[in-house]
Amino acid sequence: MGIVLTVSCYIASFSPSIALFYSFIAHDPVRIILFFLGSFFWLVSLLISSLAWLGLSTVLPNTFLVSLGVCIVVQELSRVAYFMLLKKAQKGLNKITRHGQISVAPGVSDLHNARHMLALVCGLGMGVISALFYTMNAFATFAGPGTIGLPMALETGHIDSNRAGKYLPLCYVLSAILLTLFHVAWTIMVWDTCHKIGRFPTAFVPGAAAVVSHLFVAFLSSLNSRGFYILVFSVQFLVLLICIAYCNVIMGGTIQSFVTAIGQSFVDAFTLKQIRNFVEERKMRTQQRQAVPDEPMTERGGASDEPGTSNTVDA
Amino acid sequence: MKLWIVLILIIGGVQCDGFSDQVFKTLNIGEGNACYRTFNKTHEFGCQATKDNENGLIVRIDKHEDFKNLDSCWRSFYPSYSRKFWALVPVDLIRRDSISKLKSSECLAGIVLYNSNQTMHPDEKTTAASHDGDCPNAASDYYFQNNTEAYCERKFNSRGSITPDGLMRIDWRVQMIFINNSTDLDVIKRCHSMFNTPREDGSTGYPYCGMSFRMTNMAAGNSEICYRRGKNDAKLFQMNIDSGDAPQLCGAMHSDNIFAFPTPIPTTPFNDTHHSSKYMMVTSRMDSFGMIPEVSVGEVSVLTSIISVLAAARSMGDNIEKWKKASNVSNRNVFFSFFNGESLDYIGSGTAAYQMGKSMFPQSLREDRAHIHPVLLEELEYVLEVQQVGVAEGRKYYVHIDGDRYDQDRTPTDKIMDKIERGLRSHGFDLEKPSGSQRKVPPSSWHSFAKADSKVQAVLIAPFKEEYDYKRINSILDKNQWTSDEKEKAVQEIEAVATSILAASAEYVGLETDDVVAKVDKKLVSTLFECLITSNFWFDCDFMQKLDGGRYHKLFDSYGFNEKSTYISMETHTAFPTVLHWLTIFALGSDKETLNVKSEKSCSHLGQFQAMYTYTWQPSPYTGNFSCLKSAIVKKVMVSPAVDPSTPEEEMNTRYSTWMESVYIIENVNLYLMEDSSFEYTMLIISVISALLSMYAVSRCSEATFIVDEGEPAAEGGEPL
Repeated sequence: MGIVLTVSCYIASFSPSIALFYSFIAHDPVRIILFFLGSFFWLVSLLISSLAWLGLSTVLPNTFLVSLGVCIVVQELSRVAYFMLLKKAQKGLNKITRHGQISVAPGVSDLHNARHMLALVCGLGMGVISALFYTMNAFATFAGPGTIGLPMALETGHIDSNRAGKYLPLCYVLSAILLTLFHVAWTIMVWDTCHKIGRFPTAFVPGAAAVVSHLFVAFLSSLNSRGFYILVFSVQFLVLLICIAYCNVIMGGTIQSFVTAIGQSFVDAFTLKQIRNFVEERKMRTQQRQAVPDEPMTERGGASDEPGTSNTVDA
Repeated sequence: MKLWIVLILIIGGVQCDGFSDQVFKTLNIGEGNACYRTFNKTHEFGCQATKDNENGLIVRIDKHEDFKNLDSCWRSFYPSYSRKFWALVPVDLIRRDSISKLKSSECLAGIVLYNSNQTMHPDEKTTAASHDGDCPNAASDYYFQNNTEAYCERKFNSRGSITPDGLMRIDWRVQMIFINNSTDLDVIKRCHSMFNTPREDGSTGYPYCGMSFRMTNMAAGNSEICYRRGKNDAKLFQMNIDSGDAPQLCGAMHSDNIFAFPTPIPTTPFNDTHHSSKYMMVTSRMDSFGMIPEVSVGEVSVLTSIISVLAAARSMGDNIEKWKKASNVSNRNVFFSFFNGESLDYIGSGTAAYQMGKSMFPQSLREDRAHIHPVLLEELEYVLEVQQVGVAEGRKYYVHIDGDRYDQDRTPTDKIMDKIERGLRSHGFDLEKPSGSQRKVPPSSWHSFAKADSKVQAVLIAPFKEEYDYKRINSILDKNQWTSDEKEKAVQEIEAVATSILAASAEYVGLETDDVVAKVDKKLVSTLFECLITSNFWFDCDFMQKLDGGRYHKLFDSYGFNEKSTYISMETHTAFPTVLHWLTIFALGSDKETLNVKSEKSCSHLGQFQAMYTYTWQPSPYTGNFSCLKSAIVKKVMVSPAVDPSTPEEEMNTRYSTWMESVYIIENVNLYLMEDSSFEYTMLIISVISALLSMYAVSRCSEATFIVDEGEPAAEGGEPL
């Protein structure tokens, strides 16, 4: 394999995360802090899971399934813990982020109605670190000369027919992308439950959905070793779409608007709408500059009629 | 607090190896199993890892015809693979017609050598397998340095040498390792057969079994550069502030040499330099080498000759009173020298000659006490050496002398040769005395002394005349499967040569040669043959196990400590000097005067402040009972004056050996599965697509997508959770 492969794998795996980070987090120092705090909470959950695994392995002969269950529960609990921490800190955070005379950190985005944005930021932090932990050893291996499988093959006398072979890097990339986006979705769902904890029993639906989908996705991943890669990734992608759609509903949208937005995205993509918009915008600016040559630079462009200002996801 | 400490300890105890255990099958390669860099004054030789020769697909070369695949880089077998190969080659396929292909191949990353299962008899004449050159030690030859002969004029090893300069004098582009462990070898072969062997239809495909290995040398250039760079003042910025030492880049090849004096040398005041005695040095070399230097058993190059000298020494030790008496009367002494590094331009003998010239042999003079009289060059009359014993064609031996020196005073040398002839004839062997063309001495330790003194005479007993008959001198293949007949004949030869050594020595000191004086213990010769040659390791036989008595410890994970090796190495990393030292003490030591000594401590106390004698607490190889053996045996590390920092006036003087070794870092062999690298570019395209899609998808969202007014007053006030 080689360095090119490793770099390609990293770019492919973390492109969605980088795009989200660049669009919603990078410009805001508070969000950056919350992003890394999310990573920290996930690491703590991993540490606790590891210790539990270590302890269980001394007692039980086969601890895989139990450890997996414990690990998932601990991850979800860490999300809850993070929510509780933020809830305690939000008064202080509000003082920092509120625009106006009392703000101690001008330039940061305020927290008005931003619970889903906070969930996105913190969930992305968790997702990125979990994807990084999942992939970095494998990607480091891809930088070397070999791939996974020889010791086992020498032991058993035959090569595992279900191994991914040369497509193993692609499997890791897809898993990393799914894992990152799942963490964002699960955080939005769990935090929605935490936020609405008093509204029993409907409040528990998003949280339960997050835990169930997390367990289901983990179970599907374990089928990868049996060679059902295409099926597993297809089902996992479908589950991710359902989770995102559900998050869209949580954020005030509907399934219909979600489907419409996706359809519109495909249409726009095929008709190169964004490129056309970009060209037209440039043309308009040029014309305006020619019409008013001495006008000083002023802020242009109204925000109200631009696409993407609705409360639903366009894609 | 305690809980935290426990938690930290648990976390600290967890080890993570990443995926390496799922990717690599690791085979441990100890020190000495790989080819590394060596230097002389002008060149560097050996192997060095580079980016290009680290990884490769494993291929097998099992028979000579397989070398044709090397020309085509195995294209017909692996059409989709265009990188390098590690070739699994049995040592006996390293021949004249194959070595050039291995040297010049552009597609080889390295060579994995192993011993094939085929038996190799010393009688096999067809194959040249010596890893030495046509003219061993040609640059250090007395006649060449004395301008009486051109460089490499007499090609003693031309029948046996694989290349004219020898395999140790090649600067290889490839790396090389020797696998001696059959389990490791089986793993490599299995990996090859599972993934790299063509299927029934002749096709192959990914994944392939690959191998990586890395051996990094610290030094480069030649020994002069290395020596200069190794000085502390040249490495000021690399110096360890605490210890004041600079890291070592390379070192002079040096190891223990053994000198045994059966008859005591008189003690003398410090500044007394009169010539008190005359000496005959009975010598045999104790080193050889292979294309991977450490892998060199040296059965015929070294061991058979050493056994004959040891047998003679043992016989002398049994009748030591007679020998002492004769020496006292004649003022002539015989002593035994086992020189190390002789195959590399006479490191041991060159240093001994230098020390004799400086009155430092066998010990440096000390002003604070009476000491033994140093053996001076002027006092050394004969160097009697035996070589390549045990592989004579028929029953004929030859004696080699230097004609010019012989002509100056023929009588004593004639008498010695007569005694040698009688000794050999007593066992049914003939001796051909030197005639015209034979009046120059073949490569031997004498050359070192001849360069330093114009009178010292050579007497070399060997089974060859003008060229070596044995074709595996200094070779990995100097390790034979002896048939019982061959073994019996070899033992007879050793016995005959030992008898002739005794006869010549007796003649020199003026002792009447009778049945007692010249009687060699045939049983001892057979036992030593079994233990040193037939056995797989030095301490496998009962005789050597008893001699060991639990004293031998494998100090390093090196080839020389785990296998039979007679290579000199840079830092005494082989067991052989210790083995030979103990055998020499057994041969010449005596407990007659120390019967009352009952402990190791008391024995070692006896040796304090002794100039001549050493006292060694050693078991008998027959009974295993320890006793305190008194002997005059010196085990001495000899560093060639040309590369010894303590002799700056001789720095890089080519009269002496300039061989040095690089310090190296050796890594383990890793076997792994190789996948088709073309997928790299597919992944690159996928990554670009992924990035574009991500940008597009995220660009469809905005801050407002995630900031939703749900009509909650607290959220609108800035406390959304």
